[in-house]
Formats: sequence, C-alpha cells, structure tokens
Amino acid sequence: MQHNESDSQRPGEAGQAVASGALRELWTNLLSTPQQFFESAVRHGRPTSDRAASQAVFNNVFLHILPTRINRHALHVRTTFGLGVITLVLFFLLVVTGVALMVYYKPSTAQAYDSMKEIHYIVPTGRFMRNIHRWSAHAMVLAVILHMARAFYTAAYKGPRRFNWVIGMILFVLTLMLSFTGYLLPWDQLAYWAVTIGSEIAESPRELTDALGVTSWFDIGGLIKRLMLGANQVGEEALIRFYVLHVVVLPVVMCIFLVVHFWRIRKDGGLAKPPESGPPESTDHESGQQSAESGEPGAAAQAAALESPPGAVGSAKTYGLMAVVRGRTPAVDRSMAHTVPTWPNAIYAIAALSMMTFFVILCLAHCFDAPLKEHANPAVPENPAKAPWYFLGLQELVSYSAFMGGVGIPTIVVLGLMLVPYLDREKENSGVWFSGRRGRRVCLLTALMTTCSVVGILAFTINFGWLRSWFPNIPQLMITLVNPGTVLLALFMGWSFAVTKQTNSTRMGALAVFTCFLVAFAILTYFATVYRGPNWGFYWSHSDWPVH
Amino acid sequence: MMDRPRTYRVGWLKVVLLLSSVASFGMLLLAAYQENFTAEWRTHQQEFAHVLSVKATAANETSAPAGASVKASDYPIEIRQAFLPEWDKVDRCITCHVGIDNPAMQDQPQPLTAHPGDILQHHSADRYGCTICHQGQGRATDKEAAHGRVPFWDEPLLTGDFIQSTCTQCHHDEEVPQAPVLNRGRQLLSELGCVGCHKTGETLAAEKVGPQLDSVGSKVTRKWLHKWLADPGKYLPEHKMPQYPLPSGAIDGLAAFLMTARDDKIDNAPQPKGDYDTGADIYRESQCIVCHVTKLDYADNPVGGHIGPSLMKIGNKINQKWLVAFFQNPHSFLPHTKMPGYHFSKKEAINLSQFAIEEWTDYDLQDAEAEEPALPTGTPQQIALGKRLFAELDCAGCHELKGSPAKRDAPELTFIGSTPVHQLTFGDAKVPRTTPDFLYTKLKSPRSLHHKFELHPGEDPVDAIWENLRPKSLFSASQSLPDGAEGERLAWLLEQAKKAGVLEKQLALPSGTTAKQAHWLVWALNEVGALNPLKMPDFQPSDQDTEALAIALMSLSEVGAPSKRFDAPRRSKTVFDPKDEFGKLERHYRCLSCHKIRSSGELLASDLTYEGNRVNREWLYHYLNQPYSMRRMLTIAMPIFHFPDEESRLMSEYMANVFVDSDLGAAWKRNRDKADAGRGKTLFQAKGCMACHQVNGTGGDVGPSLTTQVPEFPHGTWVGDKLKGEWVYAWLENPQAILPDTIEPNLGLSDQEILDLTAFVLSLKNPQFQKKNNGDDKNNGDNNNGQVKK
Amino acid sequence: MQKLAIGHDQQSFVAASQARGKKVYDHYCEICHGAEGQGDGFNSAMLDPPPRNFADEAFWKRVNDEQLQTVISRGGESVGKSVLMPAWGRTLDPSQITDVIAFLRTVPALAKKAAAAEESEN
Repeated sequence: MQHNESDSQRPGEAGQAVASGALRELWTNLLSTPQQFFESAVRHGRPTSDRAASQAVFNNVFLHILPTRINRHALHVRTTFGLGVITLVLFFLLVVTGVALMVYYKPSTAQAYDSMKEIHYIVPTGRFMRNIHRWSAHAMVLAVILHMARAFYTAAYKGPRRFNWVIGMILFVLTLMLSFTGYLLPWDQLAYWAVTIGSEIAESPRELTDALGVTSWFDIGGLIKRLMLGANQVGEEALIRFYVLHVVVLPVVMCIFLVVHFWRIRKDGGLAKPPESGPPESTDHESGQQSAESGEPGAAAQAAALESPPGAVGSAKTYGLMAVVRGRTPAVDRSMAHTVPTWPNAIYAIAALSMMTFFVILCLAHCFDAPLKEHANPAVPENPAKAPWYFLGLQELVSYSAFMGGVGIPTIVVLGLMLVPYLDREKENSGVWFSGRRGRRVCLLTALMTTCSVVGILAFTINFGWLRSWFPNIPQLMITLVNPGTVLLALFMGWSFAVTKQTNSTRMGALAVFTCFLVAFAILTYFATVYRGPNWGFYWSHSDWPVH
Repeated sequence: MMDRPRTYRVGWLKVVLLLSSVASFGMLLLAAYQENFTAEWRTHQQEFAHVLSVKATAANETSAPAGASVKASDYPIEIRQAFLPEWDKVDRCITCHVGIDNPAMQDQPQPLTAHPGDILQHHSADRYGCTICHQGQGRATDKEAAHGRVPFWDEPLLTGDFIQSTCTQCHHDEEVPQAPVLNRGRQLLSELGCVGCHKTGETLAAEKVGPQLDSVGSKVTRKWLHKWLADPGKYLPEHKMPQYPLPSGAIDGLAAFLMTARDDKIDNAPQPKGDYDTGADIYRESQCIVCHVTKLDYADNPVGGHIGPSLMKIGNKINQKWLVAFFQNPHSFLPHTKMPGYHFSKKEAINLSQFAIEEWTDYDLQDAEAEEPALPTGTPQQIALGKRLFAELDCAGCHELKGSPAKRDAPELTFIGSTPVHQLTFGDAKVPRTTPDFLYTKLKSPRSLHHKFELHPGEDPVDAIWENLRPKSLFSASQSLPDGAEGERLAWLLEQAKKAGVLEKQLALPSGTTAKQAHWLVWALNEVGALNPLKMPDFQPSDQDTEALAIALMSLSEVGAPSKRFDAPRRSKTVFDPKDEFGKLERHYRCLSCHKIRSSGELLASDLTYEGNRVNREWLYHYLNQPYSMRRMLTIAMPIFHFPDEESRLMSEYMANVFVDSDLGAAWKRNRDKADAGRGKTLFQAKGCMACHQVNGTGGDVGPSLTTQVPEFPHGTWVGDKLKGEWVYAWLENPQAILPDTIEPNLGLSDQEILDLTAFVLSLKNPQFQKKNNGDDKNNGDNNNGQVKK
Repeated sequence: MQKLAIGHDQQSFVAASQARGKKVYDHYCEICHGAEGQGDGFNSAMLDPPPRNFADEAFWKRVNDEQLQTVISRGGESVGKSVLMPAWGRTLDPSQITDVIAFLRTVPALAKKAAAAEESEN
C-alpha cells in the first residue's frame, strides 16, 4: 500500500495539468486526504502476514516496546496472571484521573477539604473520577505486591534480569510513596492522622539515637520528619510538599524507572520462561561479557542442550540487528517454533486484560465511594489513628519498637530482597512456579511456619506483654534490639539459612525468606486492620471498642 | 512469507475484549446518565418549573387574558447556590428548595415550598444562605448528605425549635425576640443555677439562685432540713432545688454543718405571739397571693403566683422568730429577692407571722413529726464532714454562705454546642449520636449517660472500689484503706458503706471467693449509684424545659459570625435604676418585680414606660393609695402598700413627668378639635369594640371595662378619668407598637376614625369621681398641666 | 427517651404548622372561640351572635381556606357577618393566619376524639 503515496506525483499528470486540472486535482486530493492521512500515520493496513504483523508492531512507537514475536509461554495466563500489565493500566488510569482531579483540587489547608466536597458534589462525574483514582491506587499497591511475588516465585529475578528486579523494588517503593503522598491530599481526619502516624514512623530513628544518647547532635529521625513535613506537624507545609511530590516529582521518577523497567524486559530476553517452552532465554551476544556479568558460564549452551532434540544443535545466529546492540535477541530458527507473532496474539491479550481491569475499577468506583471523613482537626485525634493499610503491618511493628518497625526492619527487608538475586545465583528452572515440587513444599512449609510463629508471637505479646512489662527499668536499646519484630526477623533469617543448608540450594533459601516476608506482611496487615482498636489495643471486633 | 501463525487465543481474546469494552463503555454511559439525568435535584427543579407554569397559566386566565404564559422549559435546570465567602460556606440547599423565597409556593410540599414566616425578609437567602441557621452540609447536592445525616458530618440539619440555637451566632443579645424557646432556655440556665457550677463564658450575675444560708440555722427546723436535703420534692412538689443522690451519712453531715449557720439576734429574741385575724387582714392587703401559692382550690390545685416559693407548709419549716425579722426587713436576708419591702411595724410583722404559721402548717405532718425522735445536734465530725461535702458538691454555686466560696469546677460549657459529637460521652445509652440528643438526654436524666463502674482484670478490686466511692468526702478524708487479706478488706469496705448510709444495714457479703464478693459489692454499690462519679444533680425538668435548655446549650458554640457585618446590632439593654428618690422607692417596693419600665422588669402588671402619656396624674395618685382591678373577673390587683402620702405624691408626679414620650399620640394634640365623640360612639358599635370592652355593663370581658364599677370603690374611675387622649390615640393607631403581645387587634382605622373614637373614649367619665376630684383639686384630667397643687 | 434526631417529613411540617397555629389561636382567639374551638370561650356569653363553633363539620364543608383567610384578616364585617369578629390582618401576618387555619382544621377531629373519650369514661 505504500505505493499510494507516489500516486499523485506521476510526472505525466503533473505536466499536462491546466488550471482547471490543478483545481480538480486539489479537489480529489482534498477528498482523499482522510485516507491519506490515516495511511501516512499508520503506514500499513491490517496485517495479513507474519511479516506485516511484525512490521506493524515494529513500526508503531507504542507497540514496538513489544518484540515482534513473542514466546507462546508468555501468553499463558498462569505465567504472569497479567499482573505487570494490570499494574501499568492502573498507573495509566491514575495519571488520567489524577490530571482531571488536579484541575479542581486546591492544595491548601483552607481549601483542600472544601475542594474535595466540590469534586464530590458539583464537578460533573467528579465523584466517579475520584473513586476511580482511589480504588486504582489501592489496587495498584496490591497488584505491585502480587507482581513482585509472581516474579519471585517464578525465579524471574535471576540471571539476566537481576538488575530489573532491583528496578522493580524501586518501583515498589515509589508506588508506596505515591500512594502515601496522595493519602494526605483530601485533608480529612483519615488523611491527617494517617499521615501523622506515617511521619511518626519516619521520625522513628530518633528512638535509636535517643537510646544511644546522640539525638542532640545527630537527630536523623527528626530531620527526615522535618524534610517530609516541612514543619513539626502535619500542616500547610506538609500538604504542599505532599502535593508536589504526588503530582510532579514521584510520577516523573516513576515514569523514568518504568521506562527502564520495560526496556530491560526486552533487553533481558522477555519474560522468564521454563526451558521446555523454548530456548532458555536467548543466546548471549557477547558471551564472555554477559557471562562474566551474570556469572552463568555456559548456561545458554547447557540450557540449549536440555531443551533441543539430541543432535539438532541449532545455529548460533540470532535476530540481532546490529552487532552493537547488546542484550539478548531470539536465536534464529531455534526459537521460532515456540513463538507466535505479537500481532495479534499479545496485542489482543493485553487489550483484553486492560479493558477488564478498567471495567473492574469502574465497577468498584460505581459501587463504593472513596472515604472522606470530617475536616482535618489537629485538636481531635482519631483513635485509633491508623496508617494506610499497606503500612499497617509496619505500624504493628512500630508499636513494639518505633525504630525497628519504622526503619530497621523495612530497610532490611527491602535491601535483603534487592540482594537476593546477587546471593542466589543458581541457574535452574527459571520461569517455573516455585522452581518445581521441592520449592512448592518449601514454600508451603515456610508459610505454615510463618503463620504459626507470627500468630504465636502476636498472641504471646497480647497476653503477656513484652520486656517492658516484666522489667520496667530495661534500657530502651534492649527493646529496640529485642522485640517481636526483630525476633520474627531473626527467626525468618534462621529458618532461611536452615532451609538453604537442608536443601543445599540458595534458591530454596530465597523462596523461604520471601515467603516468610510475604506471609508475615499479610498476617500483620490483616491483624492490624481488623483487631487493633483505640490506643492500639487488641479487640476481637469493632463492637468491643470502648465508647469514649 | 511464513505460515500464517495459529491464532488459537485470539478468538476468545477478541470476545473478552469486546465484552469488557462494551461493559466499560456501558459503565461510563451509566455514570454520565446518572450525572446528567437522574440527579434528585433535577427532578425537583423540573417539578418546580411545572408548578410555576401551572400557576402562571392560572394567573393569566384570571387577570391578564393576553399575557404570555410561562413555559416550563424556560426555567433553567441548574445548580443554584448561595456563596458566602466570609463564612466559608457554599449553600446549595436552594438547588432543591427552589421555591424557598417565592411566596406563591406556600401551598407546595417540601422541598419546593416557601420558607414559613417572614424570616427571609430580614435574612435574605443570598446574604445568609441556609446552613448558618439550619446547619447541615451546604455543599452537598443529595438529600441525605445535604441534611448532614451521613457519617463524618458533625452538623446535621437542626430540627424543630433547635434551629433557634444558631441565632446567637449573630444575635449576641440576651433576648432574640423571634427565638422564644432559646430565650426560655437561657433564662432557665440562669434560673436553675447551671452557671453556679459550670462556666458558660458569660458574666456571672451577682445573685445566686438559691437563698442565702448565713442564718439558715435560725430559720428552719432541723427535721425539715434533713427531709429537704433527702428529697425536696416531698416538702414542695414544685421545688427549685434539685435532688442530690446523697446517702444518709452525707445528709446528717450537711444538716449538722448548715445548722451551725445562725443569727444570734434572732435566736435570742423572745418567742412572738400575735393575732391571727389581724394578720389575715394584712395578708389580704399585701396581695401575697400574687407571688406565692397560698391556698388550694376545690380540686387541690395550688392557687397563687409562682414568683416566690409556695407557702403551703412553711409552718412545718420555719422558725417564727426568723419570720418576724424577715417581714420587717426582707432585703437584709435576701438582698436580691423580688419581694417588696412593706411598711410593717414589729406588731404587724408578728401578727402576719402568726397568721402565716397557723394558716400554712400541715398539721398531720406536724403530728407525725412530733412522734419521730428528736434529732441529735451534730457532732464535730459531722460538721466537718458537712463542710467538706458543701465544698465537694459546690453548694456555694447556688447558695451564698460566708466562708464557703464557689469552686465552679464542673465541666465548662462555653463551647458545648460545637463540641465534636465523638468527644461527648454517651456511655451505654441508646440514643442517637448527635449533640442535641446528648444534651437532651443528659439534662433529662444525667446518670443515663454514663458507663457503669466495672472491675477490670488486673487491678485490685478493693482499691478500685475505694477510689470510686462517692461522695468522696464521706469516705476518703477520715479513713484510709487498711492492709490485710482481700476478704477482710472487702468486709471493711462494706462496713464503711453501711456506716455512711450508702448500703442498708442488714446486707452482708455473700459466701464464696473474694472475686465473687467483690463483684457483689460492685453490683450493690452500683445499684445505689455510689460508684457514679457524676456530681450533677437531677433537675427533673419537664420535656419542654429540657428542650429549651438543650437549645440554649447548643447555642453556646465556638462558631460565630466571621465579620462584624453580620453581628446583629446589640440593643443597648438599659437597666432602669435611677439614683434619685424615685429609684430609692423603687428599690424598696421592688416595682420591677411586677411592672416593666423601659425594658427592665416584668410584665405581670402594666408597663410604666409611658405612664406619663397614659394616665392622668390625679388618677395615678388615687390609684396608688387605693388600687383596684380594672377587670370584672379579676380580684388580684396591686398590693395596698399604705404609701405615705409624700411617697404616693412623689411617685405620681415623677411618673407623670418622667415617663413621657412627647411624640406619642402627637396627632391627637394637633387635631383634637376635629374629633367628634358622637361619631366615635357609632364607630365603637360599628367596629365591634363591645365584643371585648364593657361600657355601662354591656359588652365583653376580654379587655378592661371602660366604665369600671367596683363596689368597694364607688368613686372608681372610668376610662375618661384615667387615660390621656394622646395615649388612647396612639394605642388605637397600633396597639402592638406599644404592647407587642396585646391581643387588641390593630383595626387599621383611619386618622379621623381614631380621633373620633378617642374623643368617645375620653368622654366616658365617672361623675362621682369627677365630683370628688373637683372637690379636692380643680384640675381636670385631660387638661392636666402637670402641676399638683399642694 | 425522646428521639430528636428524626428528620422532618411532610407530615411533620403540617404538624409544625398546626402547632404554631395553636399557639396563635390560644393567644388571640381562645378567649371567645374556646379552648377546643367549640365557640364556648370565656367571653362567648357576652357575644350575640355567638362565636363560630369550629367543631361543626357542616361549616367545614361550606368554607375553604381562602374564605377563612379573608374573614380572619378582614373581620366578620367583610363577609357580611357580625362585626364582633375583628379584623386581624394587621395584627397577624398571613403565615400566622395560615397556621391558625391549619390548626382549626384539626378541631372537628379533636372534638370527636374528646367526645369518644368522654363516652368511654361514662
């Protein structure tokens, strides 16, 4: 169809043209302009062949983030559950509705709450937009966590994707920060006190510096809190800071990391896939360098030997465009059998998933209104003041030791998870859930152990208290070091080392440690959401809360 | 070209894509539809437009045949709002209540109806919006949210008379004429003595609501005091003092303490002995019944006024010696009383006290009391305990007693109306969680809004019970908790409670574990309310009074007008208190207890503000000497004070010259020549005046008779002897301008009609009075030039 | 315990109007027309013709609100009735008169109820 473009420039016609002919030509040009415009923009019609389909993907700025052909395995629902795509769709929804809300929102303590009411009652579909924004934000946090779990359990953090895992962790933290900064903006009681609690968590290093007696000249907790709030209390300064972070800084940073994240997926060989569904990954272009970096000498060859029929060793030729393009590209003729063209297979899958996500969020937004409590009132504390749900697990730990719960343990967990790919370098069963039956057993056992130990220690603490109840004069440093949070952390570490030793596999150890964190996070979050009442006391149900 | 790839997924993926896209699009359409078509307020406005067009068509048919009809479609359907930047309010109430300022909508149902009354004429919806007065959530556009009956909105729509509680945001005056219930509540707040214990941000009046107690020991009998403290309602059903839930030990202590407040002069005086019949005459002349309940009618209903306390049983209560001293100089005992100072000689006082004690004694009660054992005088411990209790209960909030200052440490009420609901203690009460409900319930039965005391695991039950036993003075000050086994300590606690009269003497701890015993003790103490730390007594107000009080408390709000522009002008509240001779007389006779003068005083009798315009000086002079009732059916009149002649002359002259407004009825002075009494007489018939006023024995009994004939006062005055033309003229012109509550209708008479009627009214003179008056004094009523010949 | 947090529906607005009307009636009208509106007030004995008995159901079939509004605001004279009924139009405002009429309309029902109560007592 590309020859169309030269149609109107045939020299014969141009030469014979008279004045009226030129006008006629103008007329016909005008009539064919919509078609011409479409063709110049899209450059191809409906792809009828693989080649055309590949070209369609390759030539489109939006689609070319996908490979032209995609491994059939990647399209299985069970491979990813589409969590990455869902997260991205939610992010897009958040950006779009966020921009719409920005038009009406006024970031000042005097007007913020009222502008929320305006959005709710007066702005056409404002309430709907806000609901979409709110539920998308919560859904995104959930989706990110699940996406992370998926990546971990399918060992997708391994091998060439180690750095992308780190990027993913950064994106996870950014998502939490975006959600948290957005939490304050409605300026209602819920927002105000949740953020107050959040800022107290940020201030928690002071507990350690206090215990060490160095707060007077090294008040890192106070510094973080003041940086965050711009004042000693949540107020006008904090609101404008959170607003700027929420609408400009964090989204931009997020976008940059997102781009890197996607780029790395392509460059690291697409989605992690088990060996039986194709060549393990791809062929290393610069074998030596890559191997040195990834520490997997001969991995590709080994894997190729595993999956290829005996004797049918494929060529080393790949579809790399230029020698200078580093990274992995599908190997010629070996992987073709396991791939399908991205168009239409992946495109439709992604489109359908996106639309479904959109639909679910729309339903949520239609059925449930985003909460908006009373106007923020610094004089009337919410009791219990609870942080957003994803920080409630931390808040539970903070109730034992501010520093450990607020800074120590989360830092250890995030750093630990970032380090996992560099500690666990076993190259096996990438793309397989739980790395097979043994891993499944380890995860199950670990989940059981974690449930028992977390529930046990919670029950113990509620019934018998902790060190302070037994030794009232115990130094705070002791409690900072030994509290239910650190005890659990130590237990998890010990368990993971034991698993590593028992199975003689770092992968199993990694599975154990991740399962520990995930299950503990889930239980603590659930516990703090449901069973914690006024003054962070334990109550079986909301109806037992003391009326005050 | 390669083989066409197997598109095994794409088929169902396409279906999923199509379905979810259609569904999403449907959701968006639904949202758009709901937003643009089904909003509640749209239907209201459409209905309003319809009503408008129907009304317009109807009006056109009757009045203007060719007039343009109003089309319903011309009425814009849109959000309507009042924007009040100073108040930081946007009130969209008028989006649904569209007809609120359209008088034609009065017959429409809510939400289209017009605002009742004329409030909007002075508070236009543009300037004041709606939520300043009504509360609710002005920004919201659906009914429940706008009315504020949703979670997380602390100011739900005020209902009924509670709307009056917001008047005070701009109207800071004591009186807001349009808010009678609020005014009543504020009056009750001070009358009941709430401000004696609670701070309300208002300046404290000098007078306390209860009587001064400095000589109470000489005034009342010990038995009466005991009974009164235990249950005031038993002595006086309409008692003002609330009942405190006090155990017998506390009552013994308080009574012992109060009986020490004595006046030696009274104690040492000889026992008076007077004459009952003479006393009865003094009682009748003094018109005690105007202020006091002094008898019961055939159905045992109290008869008499309620300004002073009922006198029905004072013989059982009061020491006659004190009464004699009191009659001679009531103001030295009760400086702020409304009781006038009479000119009683000692003999008269003794006679009157004799009558009072004999007339108002419940002899059955007296006989019963005589059989009861005499009460011992208080021990020093009891007196000390009483003093502590007097302070703990803050009795000094209502009663002046030397050496016992008021603490006023009850919870402050200055901003109670704007306290967030969740900061109010509802306890276990099953009432809606709103501020009005809280206040209402608290006032109606204070103790219902409280958690029952419970033992908590981990605390020592004996300590916990000991700490919470009330009243505290009865327990903690003299004894301290002994050490020992828990069972023994519990038994000791029970013993203390019995000793204090909190628990009955025959009670004993049940057998069983100490835990069981402790729970029993808590139960028993809870039953008698001894573990409730609330000090507030039960005032047992009526439903109406409770609501009025709750409204007055609701009005104590932190919210106020944001700018001076909204402050209603403070009406300068002049207190009539001249420092001249008349003022001295007023303070002695307490005229303001019954009369109003320049917005001071009460309206039990006439308003004297324009007395100089109203009546002739001669008439006034005679009236002061010998008052009588203007109405046939009323026998109650002004007491006969036996004013010394110079005092009645001074008062009549003072009122004739000072209580004058020269503008009042000025038209009469200008045009009296044009008046014709004959025409006036015809008008009197034509306007139906005789429906209410009698002339020569015919006519109604609603208004005062115009030709009063009182057998005791044959020289009694008729209206022409009494009133001045200028006043009659002004009164007929607009009665409500002079006396807002009067039921004399404003008939809308023309100037000429008023002149004629006035002339007719003034022509009604009693020949006998004229004769007598002319004998005394040459001055004729209406030509009075203000001089009294001596 | 009285529940205060109830919403005002249409019914309670009518009730409120009647209650306001009763207050006005008690102050201005009761002395002639009687506490129960039966034309037997304290002053009725002095009046000829006697005051209207509002418990009379036949009366309510004859009149509408507009006529009542006229007779109350402009007096008996204005509709050819007794001058003993004064004009209240300058003393009461129209909404007060509307309230009074709302109250008056409840009189027959109240009278019936009272009669029934009396009967059951006897």
